[in-house]
Amino acid sequence: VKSFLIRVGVFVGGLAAVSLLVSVVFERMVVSQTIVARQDRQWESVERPTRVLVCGDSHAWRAVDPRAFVGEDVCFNYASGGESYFQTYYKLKAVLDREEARHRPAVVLLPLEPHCFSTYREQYPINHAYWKRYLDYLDLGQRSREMARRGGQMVLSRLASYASSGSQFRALLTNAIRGRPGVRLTRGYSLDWKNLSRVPAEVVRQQARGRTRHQFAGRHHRDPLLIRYFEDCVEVCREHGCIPVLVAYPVTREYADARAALLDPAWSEAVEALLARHRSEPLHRLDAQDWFYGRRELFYDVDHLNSDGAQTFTKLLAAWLCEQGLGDVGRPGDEVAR
Amino acid sequence: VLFNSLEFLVFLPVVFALYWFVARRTLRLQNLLLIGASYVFYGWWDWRFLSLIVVSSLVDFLVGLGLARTEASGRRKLLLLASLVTNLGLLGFFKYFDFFLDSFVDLLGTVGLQANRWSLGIILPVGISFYTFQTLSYTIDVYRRKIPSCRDPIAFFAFVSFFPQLVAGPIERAKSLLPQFQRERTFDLTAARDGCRQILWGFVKKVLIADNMAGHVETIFSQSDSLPGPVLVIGVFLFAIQIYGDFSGYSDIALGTARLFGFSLMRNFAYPYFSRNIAEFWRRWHISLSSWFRDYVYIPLGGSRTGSLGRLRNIILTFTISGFWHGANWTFVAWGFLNGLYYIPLMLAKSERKYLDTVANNRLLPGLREAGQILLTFALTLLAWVFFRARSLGHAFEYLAGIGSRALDLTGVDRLLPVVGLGLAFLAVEWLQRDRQHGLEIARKPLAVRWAVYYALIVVVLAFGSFGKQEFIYFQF
Repeated sequence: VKSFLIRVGVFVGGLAAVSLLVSVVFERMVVSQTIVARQDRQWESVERPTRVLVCGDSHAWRAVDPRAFVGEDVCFNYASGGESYFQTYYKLKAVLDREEARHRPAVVLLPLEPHCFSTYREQYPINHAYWKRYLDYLDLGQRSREMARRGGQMVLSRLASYASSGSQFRALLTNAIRGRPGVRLTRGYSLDWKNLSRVPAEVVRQQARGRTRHQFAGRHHRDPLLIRYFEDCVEVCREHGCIPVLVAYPVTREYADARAALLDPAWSEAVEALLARHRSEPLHRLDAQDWFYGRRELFYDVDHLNSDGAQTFTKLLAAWLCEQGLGDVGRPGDEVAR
Repeated sequence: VLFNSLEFLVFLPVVFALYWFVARRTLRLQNLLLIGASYVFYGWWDWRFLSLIVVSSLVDFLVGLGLARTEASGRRKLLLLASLVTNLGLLGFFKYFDFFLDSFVDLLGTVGLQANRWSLGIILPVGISFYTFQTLSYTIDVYRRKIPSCRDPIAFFAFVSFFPQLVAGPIERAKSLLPQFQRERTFDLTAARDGCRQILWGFVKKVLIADNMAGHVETIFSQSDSLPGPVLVIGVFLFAIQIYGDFSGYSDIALGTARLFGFSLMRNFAYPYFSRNIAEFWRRWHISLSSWFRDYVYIPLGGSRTGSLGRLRNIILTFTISGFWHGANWTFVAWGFLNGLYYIPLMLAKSERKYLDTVANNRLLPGLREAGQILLTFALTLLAWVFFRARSLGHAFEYLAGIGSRALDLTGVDRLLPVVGLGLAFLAVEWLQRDRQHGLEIARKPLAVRWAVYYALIVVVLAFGSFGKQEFIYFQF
């Protein structure tokens, strides 16, 4: 047995060395090319202060085009696909901690949509090779009472950061083979011209059903862990002197209908109760979910705006922010008639 | 504990160390440790269902003792009946109760009677079909006087609950596994090293191959009403690879793990997709279940000792029951029945035991005739897998109709080519290793080559594998 264990020990040692080497190569060659890593680099290089910082998942990332604000340096879109509140919290905290007080954004947009609180989001695969620079795995493990899982993720993110990153390898390889340029980012945002109005109505409904089934398949529609991190996001904004603004981004009617059929009916009241806890300092909220009902040409799929949609929405958002007195980010009503 | 989880990565070394360093002094201590470890392994999923394993073990242990003490035929039959009722009763209640209730309501509906549809919402205990069959085989063999009854409760409980094969087999026979719990076990370095290789190959099959197919299969089968025919064909091909990688991967991990503890489990898969006819396929696919049904259903029904009609009935019945064992759904019944139908021409031509050797032995490629036979058998298997994977019989027929009616539309095929390539590459490796016990049996290669292969496989599994998302398909059976 001892001889076997010695062999296993030597093998594991060798494996750790090989794995570390692959991790370093992976991070240098692959992770550095991902959208989130490039967003980081852009954020480091943009002029300060940025007045509006967009956080959240793909709904936010697809909806806010920083170029649509009157001043092009007003906003930075730091949202990313599949991002959960706990990721947003650790990233936002790190970003705001690093900024000098006078350079911090005046307004931070946080998403307030049902799927953001659904358990599926908490279990969404994470690109640990990137997120390890922000996530505090031990804190996350304690809060979620999943020390083993999160501890394992921490070890894996250090020793084998390429784990479960096959899709990134594949994307890079495919782009290289087909000679496709990488996604071009402008202040964190990238254009997408797909147009949902070209998709047959039945397929749109099917997509909406599929998407919402996926989003609301988890244990909870109001995951306690995500609620806690959402509140922490709000707190961290306030601690750093930023105004948190909660936004429900536009979706198609088909998506909203499909979601309504699945969503826990008590969801809205529960969220109202949650927000009521902040009565002493009320939260600004913008519910734009139904703004573009029936306007499929502004979407690239059932719950994401395309570039036209993002332009239109951002102008309306800027006007709304102005109306609310939330910073000099545009002139109300002068860009788009509501 | 799932094999493909971080918990197992901790569980296995801890149990291994305790087993060989702390509990090695006495056999009893080792067996006790295995019972404890197995119960932790199972209870990690839901500790309440441990009681079922305990009940099943206790009843069969006592029945075995009872059978040893009596020669009276009536009393022996009664004891056997007690075991059958307990084990099949548990299985019937947890696995089939809701199904029979639903089917009964449907039947009433067809004759115009309306009944309220309700169900108990019973949770299916993981692995119940496997361990009940394993303990049943013990009682039946003791009843038939093929093996002596076990007088050591610790060895028997360890035999029933042995964690590597507890939840998805192989379904071991008491004759081969129980004695291994009753004699001293020594650590075999060669077996342990090959066991590790087999575990690694099992992970490759499960995490890299099967789980990468899973998402595509799910999408294709759930949207089969609108997808083009070629995509549907690819969907069932991917499912064939998925279910094989998933289940045989589990078996490889189970066999390899057992070898680390000094046990030898029966082989469960022997490269079934290279079979030249359906009979060969069933000698190579889920071998422990096929042989279980042969010994405890087909032969007691009369086997091949009856006339042609009797044999035909026995074959169809055995396959259909075997299908039903897989799950409480008519799709599984249809899958079993279809395989029974496939068998009939072979039975009539008396060629069911024709291919007992390895295909294209000592050759790199099969002959034209062999290739044709393999492809035909594989195509028949794919047809049957449609029923196995479909939600309902109606869905299966719609799926097949979709293949025919939208056969010329190639939309979406190009996107699936990488995953099809992965499946074919996997089959190619299996083909090259088809005369070995498992795909990573490379003990004769130089050390540097072997270690390079292991490292490369581990890195590829980590990079492209999918972790913690997919349970093993056969857990639900």
